[in-house]
Amino acid sequence: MGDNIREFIGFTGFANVTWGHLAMILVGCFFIFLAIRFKFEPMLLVPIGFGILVGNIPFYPGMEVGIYEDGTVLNYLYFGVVKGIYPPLIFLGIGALTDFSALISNPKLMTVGAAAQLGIFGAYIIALQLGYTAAESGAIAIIGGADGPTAIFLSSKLAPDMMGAIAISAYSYMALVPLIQPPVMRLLTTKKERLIRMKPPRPVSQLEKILFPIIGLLLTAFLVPSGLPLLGMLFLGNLLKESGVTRRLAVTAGGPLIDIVTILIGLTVGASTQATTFLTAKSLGIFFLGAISFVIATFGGVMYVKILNLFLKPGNKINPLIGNAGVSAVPAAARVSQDVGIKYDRTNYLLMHAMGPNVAGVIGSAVAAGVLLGFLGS
Amino acid sequence: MKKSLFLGLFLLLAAAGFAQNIRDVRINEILVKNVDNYEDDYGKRIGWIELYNSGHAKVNLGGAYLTVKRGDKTLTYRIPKGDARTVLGPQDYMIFFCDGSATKGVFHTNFTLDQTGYIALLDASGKGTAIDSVMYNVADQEPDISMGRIEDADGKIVFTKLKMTTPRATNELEEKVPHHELFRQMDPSGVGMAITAMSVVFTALLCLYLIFRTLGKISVGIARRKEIRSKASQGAAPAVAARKGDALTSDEIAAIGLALYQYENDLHDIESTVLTFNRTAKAYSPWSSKIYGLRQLPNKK
Repeated sequence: MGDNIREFIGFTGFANVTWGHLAMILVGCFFIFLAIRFKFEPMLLVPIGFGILVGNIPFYPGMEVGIYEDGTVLNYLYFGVVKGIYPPLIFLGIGALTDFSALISNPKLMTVGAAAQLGIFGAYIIALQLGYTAAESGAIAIIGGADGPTAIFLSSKLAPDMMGAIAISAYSYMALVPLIQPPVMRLLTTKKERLIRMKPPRPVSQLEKILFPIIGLLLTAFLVPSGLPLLGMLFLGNLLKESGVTRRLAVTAGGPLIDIVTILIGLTVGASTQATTFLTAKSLGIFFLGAISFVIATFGGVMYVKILNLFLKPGNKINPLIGNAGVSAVPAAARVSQDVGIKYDRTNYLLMHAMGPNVAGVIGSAVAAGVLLGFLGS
Repeated sequence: MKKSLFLGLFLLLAAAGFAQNIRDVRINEILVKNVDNYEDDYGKRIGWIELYNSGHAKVNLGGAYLTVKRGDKTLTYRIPKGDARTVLGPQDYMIFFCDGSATKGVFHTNFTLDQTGYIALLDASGKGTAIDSVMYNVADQEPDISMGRIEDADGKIVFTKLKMTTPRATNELEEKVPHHELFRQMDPSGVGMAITAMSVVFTALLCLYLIFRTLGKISVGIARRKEIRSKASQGAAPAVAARKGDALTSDEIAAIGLALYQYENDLHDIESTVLTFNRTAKAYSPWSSKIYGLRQLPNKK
């Protein structure tokens, strides 16, 4: 009887707990706190935070419950992350939820979405200098795209061991966009520039909205075929929305489907951060580089708009405060443009204009991921 | 007519798909004189052929042919259909033992490798151009020295003698430097990658910009023409010239947006509370009456 009790105690979490587990449990609780108290990306941080708790319950190895143990329930759910299945499904939903009208009505904003990808490649250069391999650097750099699904997709291909840290870093900084971007935006712009009023967008015809996903897919996927899973699903979702004849599919893709996949991806990515694999110096480096990449991305977007304004006629100028929205954190980055802009002119609504580069950023980061995969993939 | 057209198209695509898959298969390595080398499933050492699927999809070799002399049925082996083991996975290898015995199972051919100095893999038709073929000199073959495909110093793929036999494995003995490391060696600072990749991203979005700028202009032109036509058809209706101030201000757009949002999201089909003046009355039914469901207490008199 005594042996049985001792054996039972040996299997409990209390007997197997380490300081690493406790630290990660605190991190998970902190994420849940941020999500509930400050509403920082709650749809992502609640499942991720809870996933961290699930992944860091200490257990005796071989009990077939861990996410890294073959054949366990969590391992099966994690399969969708490892094989890059969930990110394209999320992109399908994003496509079905995204209105590209702002971009179509003012297509020059597309190039702002490209400029903000500077964060990715700036972080790539720094990561290389810090001693990461080229594949690891590419996987870390994609955090600068501010796109969680893309970060998971690319890191699962280039550096699977780092995927947990990269995903957590990407989602954390996406949640912290309202804190990271405004100081950079204010630093790079003058008061006069922040007051620039942009022309209201023109109405966009149904035909243009239908053509956008078709042309968008053909053009981007021909150029970067390795980005096909993400780009294909993004534009399919958008066509479902805009075609007007597949409303039910669009509603499913943009509602129940994306919700289900978000829960699964959040939980499993969170659970993948087991203390034993997550608490390393490399993970700290990833968090450092993630923050740097967001700053560079904001810098790239804002500075590009300022340069572009030198060539635009008065009346056609773009408010550089929407440059930050070139990262693909939709719609958080666009909301930041709006919030910062309205502090300087209460009647200058930048949200609709910022949505243009914001959705262009989604395309840009998927293309950038395709380029990195094409260059660095096996 | 339409159905048969679709069926024909489907069959054509299916056939093309099959042909495309099996064309990825290569004769990767052969060992003609097996003295002290790879054993078959009977523990015998006999000459073997290694096939390699260079593609990224499974290929079923069932129905395909291996031959050492085209047109000679006694020297041609048809790989049997219906055996799950003949499915060759992506980037995978399969060995056929060539002992001239057609009775030892699926992976034993009815010919030997010391007969003609030629081997070919043919598709299920058994005719036409070979999927792959190799030629070798039988007299030159040494015991336990295999021949296989390997990259030479010029980067060309050649079929030659190998330093060691590698059944069910790659013929390349030197460890390959990962692709990303080669890339790092070429571009240690990462600046080249940054410039190239940014150029690609810019090109993609710039092309989209140019296309949609043109489309936008066409769309605006069409809309204007429609407007003019509709005004012309109205005839007597007084034309109202567009004034500069007609464009909506940001405040107006925001107000319209708010109104639309409330209209779309804040309306209820069924209100949570319904106020009614109708008299509520329950129709009496003995089936739902409690009194009949309770046990009656005995009546003490």
